[in-house]
Formats: sequence, structure tokens, C-alpha cells
Amino acid sequence: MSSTSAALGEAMRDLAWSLWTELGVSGTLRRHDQVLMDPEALILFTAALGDRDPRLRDESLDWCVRYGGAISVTRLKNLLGSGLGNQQALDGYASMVNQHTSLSWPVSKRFRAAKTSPGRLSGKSQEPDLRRRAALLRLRLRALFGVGARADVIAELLCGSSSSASELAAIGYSKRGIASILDDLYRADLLSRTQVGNTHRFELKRPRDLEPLVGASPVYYAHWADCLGVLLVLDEMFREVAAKSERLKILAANRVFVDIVDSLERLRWGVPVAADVSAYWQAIETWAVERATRAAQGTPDPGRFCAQIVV
Amino acid sequence: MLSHEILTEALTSLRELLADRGVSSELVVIGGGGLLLQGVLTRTTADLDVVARVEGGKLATAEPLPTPLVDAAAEVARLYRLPETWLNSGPTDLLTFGLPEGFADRQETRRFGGLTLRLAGRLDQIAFKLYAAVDQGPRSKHVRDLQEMSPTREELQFAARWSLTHDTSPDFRDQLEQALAFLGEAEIELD
Repeated sequence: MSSTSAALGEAMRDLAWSLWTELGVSGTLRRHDQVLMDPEALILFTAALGDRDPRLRDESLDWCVRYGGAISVTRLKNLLGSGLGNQQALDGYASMVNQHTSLSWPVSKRFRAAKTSPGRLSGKSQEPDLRRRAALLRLRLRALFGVGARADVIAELLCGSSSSASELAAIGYSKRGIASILDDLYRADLLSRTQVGNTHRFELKRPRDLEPLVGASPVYYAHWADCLGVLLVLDEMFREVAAKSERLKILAANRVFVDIVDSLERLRWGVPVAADVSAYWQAIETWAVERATRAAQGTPDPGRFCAQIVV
Repeated sequence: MLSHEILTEALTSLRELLADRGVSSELVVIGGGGLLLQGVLTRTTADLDVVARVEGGKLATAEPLPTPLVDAAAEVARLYRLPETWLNSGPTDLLTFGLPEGFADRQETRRFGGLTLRLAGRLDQIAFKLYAAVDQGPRSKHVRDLQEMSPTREELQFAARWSLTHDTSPDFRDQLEQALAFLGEAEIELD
């Protein structure tokens, strides 16, 4: 394994541990206590990391078995369908959750046919501290409004500026469903609506009025699905090209960048730059590890990792 | 634009990509890109013109170029910020009307791993350049290329006679004579 792959992998594991610990998993470091959590993206990310950190896998599974009722299966499926993680990686993870609960997380038919025995759980996970942890706003809203698009739409509107139905659907729900929710909230006079071109943009009319009910919002918003998805893609790319020539590595990276350009734009991560092609691979390695490390450290750095929420 | 250095880099990258994918390709190349690879020209060029593919030892139309080759060339284009058409089959119609007699014997073969390029020989390049120069006029890059190649009278005569097999119209013959005069060879016997 190259030193870049090792450094990237370490940053990814650190990041996952910090995010899970925020949710209540038995961990030591919480570096993202002021960043809105995204449990579905984190589950897909952790499943894709697989056995590279068995303890992370076991402890996160323990949490999912206990508190998986707070997870949106629809969103899990939609994020998976959008390319975050992969079904093969999720199979074992989701199957474990399904065997210990009455939940029905997505498992492929082929995997379902193979008999697997439910593993043992650590039992160490703590209940998510919905009362005190700002980062768990999404779960608090799900507790109030039910697990689904409505709670997540309000979370997004509380943490973002104005949004369109398309932008909100990109978090992992159908555009039609989101449009219907926005229409409900608008008719209830909870949202204001502005016409921009041929699109309606919505924002909460009185976001501060919600605070006594749903608690404080976190300070930062991160596009976790993009962030975790990009890290998985980069990780896979670094491992696939490890034995190839530098020229092939660069060409592979260029292919990958075409696929993740939209995510990079939303993340405002920029792209690696080098004076010439010969220096490009080094620039890509440095860039990837730096971005992953910054995300893992939870350093609030608007424009690089997450954006400050202004209400 | 492709300089000799960038073209060599691009072809090396193309070679590695094709090898990585287990793809091989053999192409016949004419025009400025070929001359650049042979060190005949020093100017930059926009593309590498493929006149034919080699299949089972025989020349076949280059249109369309094989999909794996096109895909790999597009990736190389992105890396070096080249036009998507930097490797193209634009002149493959020349194959239909016939390449100059003895073309195959004058080719120079360059191997880039699984990518083999057969570069048209000097005499054939002069023929293609003269044909293009007649079409595009005395201010075109083709005239400048011809001047840089300093063809002999015999080479121009061969080129002119081959050109006439591709366009038998009186207009073309007139323009060909003007082009030859411009190149200082007005007395060449065309028949």
C-alpha cells in the first residue's frame, strides 16, 4: 500500500470514528460536534470501508441495531443509487442490522439467498444525545416529524439559505415528494417563496421560532454525501492504480475527476493543480490527503470543508 | 496545438492506456502530425491525421476509428488539453480514391507499444501536401510545409500526377499548374 493510500485511509477512519462518536458510538474523539450529521451517508461510507477497521464496523453496527429506527431506508437506497458506496459492501452490514431488528435495509437478492449467521453486538453504543448535541439536529427533527423527507427538508432549510425542490431532492429523496412537502409548508405560511428564473426558491419564514422546539442548530453544514462519496472514490482510485505507471495514475485520476466534478464543486474543494503533467500526480496525492485530513480534523474552514450556518 | 514534444507525450500516454486495456491498434498516418514525428517539420500541428487502419496486414478505412482507441484518445486529450479530434480519421477518403503507387513500400513504422503508426513516406507526404495546397491556396500551411520540405522536380511531378488522379477537372488542373508555378516548377510535365 502506498503512503498516500495509507494516509488517506487513516484520515477516512478518523473521520468515520468522529462522526459515529457524535452519534453515540463508543469512541473517544468528537471533532464534529458543530457540524450537521448525515447518518445515512455515514452508514454507506462505513460499510464501504468494510473490514479495514473491524472495531469501527462492529461498534457502528451496534449503534445501527439499537437506533436504526432513526434511519431513513428510502434515503439509504437513494444515496446508494446515486453512487455513494456500493451494494456489495452494504450487503453484509445491512444484513446484520436486519437479522437483529425488524428493519429492512437494502440487501441484494444474491446475498439474501446465502445464509449468514448474525454476529454478536458489543452493546456499548449510547443513545444519541438528542437534547444536547447540536450536530444531531436531523435526528431531533426526525423524532418530531417522523423519519422521512419532511424532517430532512426542515433540517436543510434550517441549516441552509434558500433552496429549490431540485436542490433539496439531491439530498436523497424524490423531487416530486420534496415539492409536495414544500407546497404544504408554504401553504401553512412556514416558508417564503421567491421566483428565480423558472424555479421557486424556498426559505423558512421564522427559523428562530423553531429553536425553542427543535433546539439549536449546529454552526456548520457539510455536504457529507459528497464528501464521503468523494473520499471513497479517491480511496478506490489510489488502491487500483498503486502498481501502475505514473502516467496511468494521472490518466485514472483524470477519469475520476470527471465523475466527481459536481461533488467537488458543491464541496468547494477545488482540484489539484500542477505546473506540468510531470508534477501532477504528486499534486493529486497531496491534495487528496490534505482534503481528507481537513475533513477528519473537523476544522471549521468555510469554503474547504463545511460552511457556516447563518440563520 | 501539438508540438513534437507534446505529440510524443500524448502518444506515449495513449500507448500506455491501450496496453493497460489490452488493446492494440495499427494506423497509417499522414499530414503535419506525421511529418512532426519524423522531424521533417518544426511547426506545431492541430492533429494527427489517420488515413487508414491496418487490419490483417491490409489497409482499411479509418472511419470510424475503433471505440477503445477513441475513448483512450479522448482521455489523453483531457490530460494535455488537446482538441478532442487530435487523433482523427479526417483524410480517410483518400484511401477510397487511391493512395500513391508504392505507398506501402515507403512507409516508416513507429511502434508505441501496442500502438503502431505507419508514417507516410516523404514522396507520399509531398503528394498529399500538394493536393491540399491546390485546394487551400498559396497562403495555406500546406504550401509552407512544401517549401520547408524542398521537394525536387521529380518529387513534385510524381505528386502532381497523383493529384490529377483524384480530381480530373480542368479547374483543378489549372490550379495545380498555378501551385507548381508558385513553387518554382512551372515547367513540370503533367502527362
